[in-house]
Amino acid sequence: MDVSSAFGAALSLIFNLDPQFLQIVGLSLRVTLTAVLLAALIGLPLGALLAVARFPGRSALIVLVNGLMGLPPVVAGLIVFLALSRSGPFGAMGWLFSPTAMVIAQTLLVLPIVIALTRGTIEDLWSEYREHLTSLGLTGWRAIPTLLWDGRFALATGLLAGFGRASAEVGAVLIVGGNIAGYTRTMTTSIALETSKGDLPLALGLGLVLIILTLAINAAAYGASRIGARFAG
Amino acid sequence: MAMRDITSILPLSVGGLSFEADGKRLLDDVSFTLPKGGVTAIIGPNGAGKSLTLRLCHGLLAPCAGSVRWQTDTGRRRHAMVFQRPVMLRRSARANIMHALSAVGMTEAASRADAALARFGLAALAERPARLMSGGEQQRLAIARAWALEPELLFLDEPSSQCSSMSPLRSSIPARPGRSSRSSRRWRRKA
Repeated sequence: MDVSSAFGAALSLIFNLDPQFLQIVGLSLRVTLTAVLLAALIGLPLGALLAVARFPGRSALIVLVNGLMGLPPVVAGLIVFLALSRSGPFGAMGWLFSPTAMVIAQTLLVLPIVIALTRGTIEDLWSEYREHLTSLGLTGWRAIPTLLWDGRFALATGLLAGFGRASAEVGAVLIVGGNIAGYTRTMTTSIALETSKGDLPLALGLGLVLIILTLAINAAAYGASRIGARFAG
Repeated sequence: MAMRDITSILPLSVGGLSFEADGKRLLDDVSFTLPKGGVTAIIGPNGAGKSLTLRLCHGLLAPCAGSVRWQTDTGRRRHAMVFQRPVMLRRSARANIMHALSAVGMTEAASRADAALARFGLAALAERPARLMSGGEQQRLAIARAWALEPELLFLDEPSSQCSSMSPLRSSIPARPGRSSRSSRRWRRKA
């Protein structure tokens, strides 16, 4: 099959809403969105705390978190694999090769991004707000709700960056999910598999969806910063 | 002389106040007593330590030596401060005041905020994002926000530096009418 006819078949997969195709796209979105949500719930307060707290080893922790932003997805996958494998500490849960394992692995990938970007945003805000909030008696962790709310537009951009990383990665979900058809097969793992099998239409169709998704994320990030400038100054 | 009002935080007694940063003495042995009522101005050249004195009194900084003693030290802080460069939260003018009120645990934040906005001529700008207001409007909002907290003592650090003229401030600053001496407020202006 040549590339142009593969391309046509890919478009027909998308526009005919092929059930197998939709199942893969749906699972990818479900796993990644859950991972980003979990990372936000954990990472936003932790990042804000890291911004306002002063304790020994803080600088080292910041360097560590910044470094983990570049954690290779296959290494994250390996760590989660070891933790969830039958002989690992969480082996009894039976999560390996399930969407749950994929969510855990992607959360691990997104979390450092959310913590590091939140820390940077909140630290800038804190240096601007510190005297006023201290004057109102909002010091330490009590300042965090105000800071998170006022940094909401910049923080949304950080979450979108995390979403972009998780939706594009293949290594982690491949290792802990196992690429099981109809169960743990995502857009990225399908592309890797179908391309090597020579099934170009499915790979190309999923690739197109991923590119559109990336564009949509960037549009949303741009929109968030514009809205922020307009309504928050 | 009137009876001492033991519920007031005033008089404020400052004794031997000193502050150092990076081994440089920025404030050296400052002592004064601030009685109840009236306006007190601190005047001095740039770098004399006027802002520093206000920050130390307000408790934003800890002195290296000396003491800041209020007559009574009740839970909630009953003195507020307006900074030379107003700090505006990324919210509407009204939300800025409401945030301050709920931060110190005051009830009826909405109606108090509206009263403060009206008093300082900002009612029409209530829903405007505070950071998109002009410098003078921001400074007025900062004063309205501090005023809404009903402080007994207000520290003003060059509050008119952003305003084109002192007159709008001067006319809006007087304490609320009909207040008893017990809750009368003092406006400390740094010239």
